[in-house]
Amino acid sequence: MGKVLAFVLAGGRSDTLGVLTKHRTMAAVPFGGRYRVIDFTLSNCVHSRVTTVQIATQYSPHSLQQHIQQGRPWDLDRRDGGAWILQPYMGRTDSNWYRGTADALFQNLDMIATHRPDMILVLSGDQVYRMDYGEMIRQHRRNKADVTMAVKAMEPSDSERFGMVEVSGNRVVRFDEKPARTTLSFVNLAIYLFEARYLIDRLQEFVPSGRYDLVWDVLIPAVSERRVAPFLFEGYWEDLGTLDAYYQANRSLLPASSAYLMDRQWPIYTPSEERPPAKFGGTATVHNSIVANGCRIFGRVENSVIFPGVLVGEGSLVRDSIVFSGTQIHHGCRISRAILDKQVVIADNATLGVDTPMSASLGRVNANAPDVTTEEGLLVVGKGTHIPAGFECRRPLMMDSDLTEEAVRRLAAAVPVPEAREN
Amino acid sequence: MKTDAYILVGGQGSRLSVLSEHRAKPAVPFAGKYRIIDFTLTNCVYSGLFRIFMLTQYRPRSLMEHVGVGKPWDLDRKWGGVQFLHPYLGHHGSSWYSGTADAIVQNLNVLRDSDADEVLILSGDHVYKMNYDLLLRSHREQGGDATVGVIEVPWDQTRHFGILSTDAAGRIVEFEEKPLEAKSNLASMGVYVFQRHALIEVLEKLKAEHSNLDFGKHVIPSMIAGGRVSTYHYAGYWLDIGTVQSYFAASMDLVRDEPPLNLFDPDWHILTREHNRPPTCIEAGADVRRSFITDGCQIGGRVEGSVLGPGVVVEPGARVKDCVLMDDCLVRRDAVLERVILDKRVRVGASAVVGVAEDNRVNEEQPDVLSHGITIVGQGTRIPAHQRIGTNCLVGMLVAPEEFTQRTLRDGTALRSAHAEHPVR
Repeated sequence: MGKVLAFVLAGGRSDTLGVLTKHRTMAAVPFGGRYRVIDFTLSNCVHSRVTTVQIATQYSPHSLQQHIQQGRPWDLDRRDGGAWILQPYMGRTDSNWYRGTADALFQNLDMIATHRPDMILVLSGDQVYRMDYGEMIRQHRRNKADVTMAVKAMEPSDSERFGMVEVSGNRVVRFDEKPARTTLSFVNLAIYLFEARYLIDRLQEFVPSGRYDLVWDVLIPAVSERRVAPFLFEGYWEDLGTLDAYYQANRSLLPASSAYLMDRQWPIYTPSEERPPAKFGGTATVHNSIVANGCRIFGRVENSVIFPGVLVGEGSLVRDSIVFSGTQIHHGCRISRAILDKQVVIADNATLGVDTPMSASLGRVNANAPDVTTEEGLLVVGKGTHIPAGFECRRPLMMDSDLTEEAVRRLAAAVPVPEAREN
Repeated sequence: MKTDAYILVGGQGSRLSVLSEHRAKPAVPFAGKYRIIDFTLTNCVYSGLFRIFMLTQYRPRSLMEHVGVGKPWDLDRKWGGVQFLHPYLGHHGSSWYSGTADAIVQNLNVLRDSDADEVLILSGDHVYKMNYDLLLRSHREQGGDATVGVIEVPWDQTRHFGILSTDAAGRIVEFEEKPLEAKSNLASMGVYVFQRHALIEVLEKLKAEHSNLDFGKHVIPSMIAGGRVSTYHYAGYWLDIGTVQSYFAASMDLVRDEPPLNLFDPDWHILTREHNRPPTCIEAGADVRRSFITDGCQIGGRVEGSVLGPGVVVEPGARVKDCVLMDDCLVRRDAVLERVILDKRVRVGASAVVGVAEDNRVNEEQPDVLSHGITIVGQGTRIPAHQRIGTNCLVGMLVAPEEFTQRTLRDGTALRSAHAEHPVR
């Protein structure tokens, strides 16, 4: 096996999760009860023995940098290779933000070249999946392809969010990026393996002339030249591209199907939080849920994913929800179909979400962001927001981060009831 | 001021039965994810002490694996950090450590070579959260040769401790080891600060007189005579986990709604070596309450009043009540466990019943250790399906299913594997 360098694109700005991605990139979004999304990609790398991993960050990188440290949780703090975080930087003659995925690679070509890789594995840090890249690499070599891309047989209803490809034998013969409608039945998983020479030549050819996108400017031309082989992937892969998809992907981990997290042959690594074991009080009732270390549960929890250090007070009910680290739900609260970001505080007897699921637009976090929509009737509360005692609100709803109790009360008066489209 | 900490971690803890047969007492798992030593190491680093020597002797492998180079405590340092002092052979011959102070005597060169002003002597088998910096400050203010950490114990417990009497200035005037009639209820915690030079001096003097030199028995009484030993009063939670019963009681304290030992204090999180585990999964039919559960468990049955280490599986229909289950134990369907301590990786077959009392007979092999209605099972033992095991039973480590020749082990039975290492006690 030749030398493989993984280049993880983790800088992308993603507004699709609304307030959850307000201060962090998609790769740093919490997932699955104790992880961040990027843990899955990094764990895949080390399990596949790809141990030189460069991570390009740009958008709100602090949360991600803090998480990755020097790569220690993945044993990527190595003398030879290891994890590197590549921030945009200023040079004597040039300084640019990454203007696209191909540009992020191009601007770090010198760093890539230091490691003299034979192949470059380009990954995106915003996916949750379990893949042995070793298999992909072996197949790539057998096929003698310049590029191999992972694809999965899937017929998404919203193909405009995906790249759709057609496969014939050991070649990808057609690639439609985000088509409005499609008859193609393979989805591009955005996991690419390039011959290093091929990729470097293409980048040097295209990027200086203003072609910055890896898919449009490198892959699609390569497909039309029949240089791209498919790697058909059938394993665990979750789409996190919308708020609803993110919610469902978390829910799919609940005990009945949690085999992916529990697999001891392929553990997902993440920094430890140094929390004590979870405490279940005498009044606790927990069903079909994931509960991490450091939680204190005195109320009722059903069908939920509870991250480390969460308090569920006596008499509170948390149902069908995802609750991030350190959130405090005091006594007598009712929470359903909610995603509560970190360090949210919910005072006694608050009710978040009355039980009438409906679809609606949740608005946007800022003027440039797209509308966040939900068909699941979700309620999202941003990091560090304080919900006052006795507060009640309907679903769906998205609350900003760091709101004080006073601000939430004021907001409540102003929140229009979302226009319901009955399911 | 520079301070070196010496932690005595060689104790056998024989009254912990099978839990400490293959590991030193400080390495015994406690509170789900911790080892007993974690409390002392955490105290050290939170007190700003980063030069730590660990004096090992009895079965140190488990402990060394756990502590490693000290990374979880930020003790992997260029200067200082954690260093193991094992018994060794030297030119002039050397021997096993035969007493707490003898362990230091045999490493006198380390003590002499140090540039520390003070030496803190700690025991690695206590559970407590103590800021040693306060002790050190008190020691410096009082300006003596030594200061002993003391705690008030109930008067009816004094005969289990080293008891100190002090004068009005807080100077120790008398030390009695486990007195039947105590003059005070101030117990020594086994936490001592010495001026390094004073310690070297007293050890050199005493080492010729006693071959089994002990801090409590010899060093402190000898220094009291010089009149320069003070006390520091500690008032928090402190527990010397000495027996199976106290281990069990301390574990049961953890599941109370307001436990005496708060492990959730964000300013004093206990640090330990973490084994990357997924969060715990609790299945639809499960019932978990009054329990303390570490990451990586899968619970389908009923768990009440219990402490579970990482990776424990309790299948649907199983019932676990008032138990301590260490890492990766497996409790099959419809098994019932009551007042049982399972060491790591014990497998309990379907419909087995363990720990349910009949006549409460005390243990035949360890009557003084197992008489309080607790059954204990050693590491890696596999209990077959439908097996019945009473209370006060002792099942050794690595007992294979076919070694359970009787369908029922009556209360007080001891069962050892013919194949596993069987330490003589």
